[in-house]
Amino acid sequence: MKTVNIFKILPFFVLLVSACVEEELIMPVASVEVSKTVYGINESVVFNFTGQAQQVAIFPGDNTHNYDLFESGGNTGFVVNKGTFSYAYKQPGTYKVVVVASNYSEGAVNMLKDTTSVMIQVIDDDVTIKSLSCPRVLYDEIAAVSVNETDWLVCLPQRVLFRGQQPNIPSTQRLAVKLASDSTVLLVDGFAFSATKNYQLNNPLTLSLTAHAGNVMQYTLYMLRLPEFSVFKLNGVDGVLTRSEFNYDKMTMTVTLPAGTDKTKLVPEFTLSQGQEVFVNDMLIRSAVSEIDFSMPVVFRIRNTYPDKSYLIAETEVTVSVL
Amino acid sequence: MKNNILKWSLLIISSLFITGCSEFLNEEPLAASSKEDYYRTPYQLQEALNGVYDLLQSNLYNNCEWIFGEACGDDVIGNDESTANQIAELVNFRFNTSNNWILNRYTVNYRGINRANQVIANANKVKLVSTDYGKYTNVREILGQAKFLRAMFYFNLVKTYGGVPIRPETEDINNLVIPRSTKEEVYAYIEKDLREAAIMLSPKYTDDDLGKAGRGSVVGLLMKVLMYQATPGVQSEKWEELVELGDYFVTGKALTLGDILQFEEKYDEDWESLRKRLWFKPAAISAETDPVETPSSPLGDIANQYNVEYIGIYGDALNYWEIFTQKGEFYRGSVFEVMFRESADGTGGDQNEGTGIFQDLYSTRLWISPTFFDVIKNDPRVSQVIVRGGTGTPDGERVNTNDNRYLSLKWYTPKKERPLYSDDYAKNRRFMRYSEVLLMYAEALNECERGADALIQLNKVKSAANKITSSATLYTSGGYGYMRDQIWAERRLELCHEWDRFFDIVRQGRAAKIFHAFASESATMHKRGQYFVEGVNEIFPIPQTEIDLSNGVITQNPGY
Repeated sequence: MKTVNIFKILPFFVLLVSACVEEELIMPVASVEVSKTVYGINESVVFNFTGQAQQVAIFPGDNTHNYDLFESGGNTGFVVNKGTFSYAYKQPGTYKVVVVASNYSEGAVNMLKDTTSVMIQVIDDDVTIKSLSCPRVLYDEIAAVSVNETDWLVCLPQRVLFRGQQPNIPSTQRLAVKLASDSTVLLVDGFAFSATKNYQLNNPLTLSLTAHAGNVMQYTLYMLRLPEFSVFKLNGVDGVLTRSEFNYDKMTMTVTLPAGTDKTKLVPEFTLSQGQEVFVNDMLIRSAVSEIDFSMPVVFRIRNTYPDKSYLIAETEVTVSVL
Repeated sequence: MKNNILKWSLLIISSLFITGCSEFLNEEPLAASSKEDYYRTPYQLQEALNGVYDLLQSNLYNNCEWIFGEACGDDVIGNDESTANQIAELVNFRFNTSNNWILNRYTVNYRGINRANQVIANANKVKLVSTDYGKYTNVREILGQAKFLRAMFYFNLVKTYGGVPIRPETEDINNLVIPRSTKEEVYAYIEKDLREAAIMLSPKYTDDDLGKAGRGSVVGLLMKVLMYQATPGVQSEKWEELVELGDYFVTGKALTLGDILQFEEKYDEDWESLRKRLWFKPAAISAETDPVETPSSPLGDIANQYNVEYIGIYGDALNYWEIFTQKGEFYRGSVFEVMFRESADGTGGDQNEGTGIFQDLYSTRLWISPTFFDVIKNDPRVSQVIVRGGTGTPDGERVNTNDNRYLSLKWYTPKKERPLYSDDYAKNRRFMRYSEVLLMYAEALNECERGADALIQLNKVKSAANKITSSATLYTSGGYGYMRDQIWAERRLELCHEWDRFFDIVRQGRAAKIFHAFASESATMHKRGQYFVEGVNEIFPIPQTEIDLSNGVITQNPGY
């Protein structure tokens, strides 16, 4: 009769039985850390989960991620991997971030959860202008340039050549303004900005930006005309101006003089608007005074400077050829 | 007793088996290759290069290309609007950093970089059987193609994620975590690869070598890389360099090897060392008849290699829609194609010998957005680019989709080109076409105040399209902004559905404006673009797993 020692198989039996006993579900602990509670727009907020749980979800509290509205549908959270989750808020405001820690049995038949929350404030004090332009100068968009921290300058042509015509460019123009923040309010000369309004640019425009957080900044938009010769003559003969269809600040002019004229010593006569100057090779040229060699085409650089603001300049190049 | 003998016998036999296994496992394989001794012949290096090209054919790579380049753009909408899947999250800009496709694009491009690095790092192990100039050329061209492909993968990464880690050519198992380089550093790395590849490769490959990247492919991609570094409306040396390359590619202006390398400005290395590194035959062993390249040697001409007209590889006239079919593969305007071939064994189930992706996009996945339809409806290309549900394709097949939908013919496979097995769709992807080279050149000319020259290049593309309907409407002269808008409008029409729209509008700096308008084109149809956040969504997040695995060495992009 073969006998079996019960003590030899007892440990296996105990192991088998213990494996079948369902593990007790432990209450999870929800706990989270953030390095600070005030952030800027689109600044990364890093949540470090410091509790104990099998699964962690975070509801950042903004649109469609609001835990308080979770039961009513349409709002969801994000699963946290390795205890870390980063998020960035697109709009300023105060957000209630809810962390849901859960433990569950096999098949999620039973589940225990714990929640905790942290308040995050997102502020927007950005009063930057990203770009400024006149979007409908006849058919073209002409960009303004930022000259310094507060001043912008747009240079408009007096006329343009387009499809054989040379229409005047009016000084009233629409504006296109791109702000760094959607939450910032823009006033132009004290009134709400309108993308469809024509603004008179002969006088400087004041652009006031007020950020959501209250930060205020004022910019000024100046307009200068690209300068042109009103009259240009050599030996009493008028020059014929040709505009470029592509570059408003580059023109050509031809002057037809009688055959045999000495082109090397000609004195141009010209008129410019007030405050404008003309240079050839950085030499200031005076009408009816300066003698110039026209045996080759000569590039005249006409400079228009804003009154009392020497840093606001518009320049045009006119290449004059004598035929 | 017998039992005991049996037990002992079994035990001994078993231990013999185990010992035998152990010895077998310790045995050195007699015929295997290792990394150290594999790359000894040009043939082996070529095999490694084939492995790099192979990745371009993979479904994963191509899925990433259309999802990011096309589906995230505004030319199409699709059936991913309401479904809570990872593509839907991505195209609606409602994803998080753990999105699978964000990880897929990252990893598949690094896989390509790794394969290219294997070629580049091991090229110096190749031993030639003779010192013929042609033998050096063979290795040099393999190396040059690897550099082109590596540049392509990095370009995909930098335009998707911003600055990314630049992997060492030889990986160190103890130093696998590499911090991110800046965007500028990655672009500089890409440029160096492309500029070197440009002097290493033949102008264009034909016959048995069709599909290899030649100098035209390299210079075309280099132009694009320069364009992505420049900002519209802002003067930059990148625009000027792009014009210089356009002058070379399109008008045939001469460039030297030193010019395209920017050898004087960018290299500390002496010329002979560079020649050796890039597998030009060393001057010391050159025969009298061998060319000995110098920085002032001319870079061979490529201006006459391509044509904007729709002419097939054999000189046959093609319809516009046919240049995107097998019939139009390597047509005169094709600068680089990703090749697909039907399975060599004629069986189904293949993943890389061809792809059903185009057919999937055409038949079920994406259709034309109302916004895009408004743009193309009066263009001569309209009947050749889109087709309405319920009507017929140009080859007479009924379009079985909702009658209100328009599908893209650029993804259509004609009936006579259908493969036996659906996995084997073998239509090459047009990666870059000559019309894009002309449009990049035009844009750079306009940025460099050469608007009149820009108009000439722009109208070359338009004139070719006009022949479809005998139209005479051309683009017209105008100021900078007007010209720029015309060029961008033509880019959208000519290059639509070629998986590039998203990146194009981002680099133009107008993605947010376009997307927010796109979201309101039809409130009942889709919300694509509504959640696009300016200053954040122009680039995607670094995959969360990369951040986690690096323990914070790799940092996240702002806004994620």
